[in-house]
Amino acid sequence: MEVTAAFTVAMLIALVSLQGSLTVLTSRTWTVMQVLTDAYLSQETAMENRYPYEDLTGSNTLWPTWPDYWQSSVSLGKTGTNSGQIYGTIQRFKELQTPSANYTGAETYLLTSILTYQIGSATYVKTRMTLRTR
Amino acid sequence: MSMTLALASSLMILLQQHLTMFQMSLQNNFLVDDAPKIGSILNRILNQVDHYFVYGTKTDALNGANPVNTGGVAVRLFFRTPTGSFDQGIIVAEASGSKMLLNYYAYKNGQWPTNASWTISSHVSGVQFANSTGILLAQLTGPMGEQVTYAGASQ
Repeated sequence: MEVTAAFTVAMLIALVSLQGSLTVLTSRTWTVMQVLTDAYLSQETAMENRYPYEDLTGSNTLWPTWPDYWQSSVSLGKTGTNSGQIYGTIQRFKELQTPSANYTGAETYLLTSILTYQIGSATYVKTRMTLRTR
Repeated sequence: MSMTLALASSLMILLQQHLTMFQMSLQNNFLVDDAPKIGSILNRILNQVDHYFVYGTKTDALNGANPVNTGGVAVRLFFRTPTGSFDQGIIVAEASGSKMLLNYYAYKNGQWPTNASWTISSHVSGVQFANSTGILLAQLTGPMGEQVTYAGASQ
């Protein structure tokens, strides 16, 4: 009888500690993914700022005018030697912000990059936007 | 007696698993703790830069010779001053004993210092700079093989 009670208590302790470990791992995975996605989006922001304006408005642009968009799978990084590359999907498009009948000749585009990534079975989205004017 | 032994064994296994888990979480903290700080420091420095060159070796960076687009371990930075001249600095990944250091050298009084002016991080196991896409990329590798890439001058 005492042994059965002791085993039951031990099992309860094991279950509680397993729950604790899973909670820690889940929040850690979340934090790691935020770091990887924020780092990748620093590249997107830099590209949005540095991409030549001629290329931006050219026919092979990486930011087509909405509702067209450019899409690609991108590597976000690795969480360890034994882990494979972690991937996300990037979508890019631009929208003209200035009126087409604009006597100043100024032209402003809002460049948008949307990163879609997964944590477990859930899908998340982050965006970065930059205004470019000529 | 045998049941008591089984109970004690199972509790020992439970404790061992906890310790292993604790050790793993201590070892795998590069992406959580170190990488964001390194990325933030690099971004703060690179946002002030007028222009830069990537080099395959520290010697090339010091001499300003043989710039590369990929596989760089050093970046020579040029900061424009209010008088129109340039201040210079070099960020370099270099081994020091068994450790890899990400060091900063500040050009002072017409010469480069022998020792690093300061160390950005001693927790990386590798850093690669590249400029192949038109933006400066710094790929950081952590002690457990973690990899994350930050872009410089993203503002």
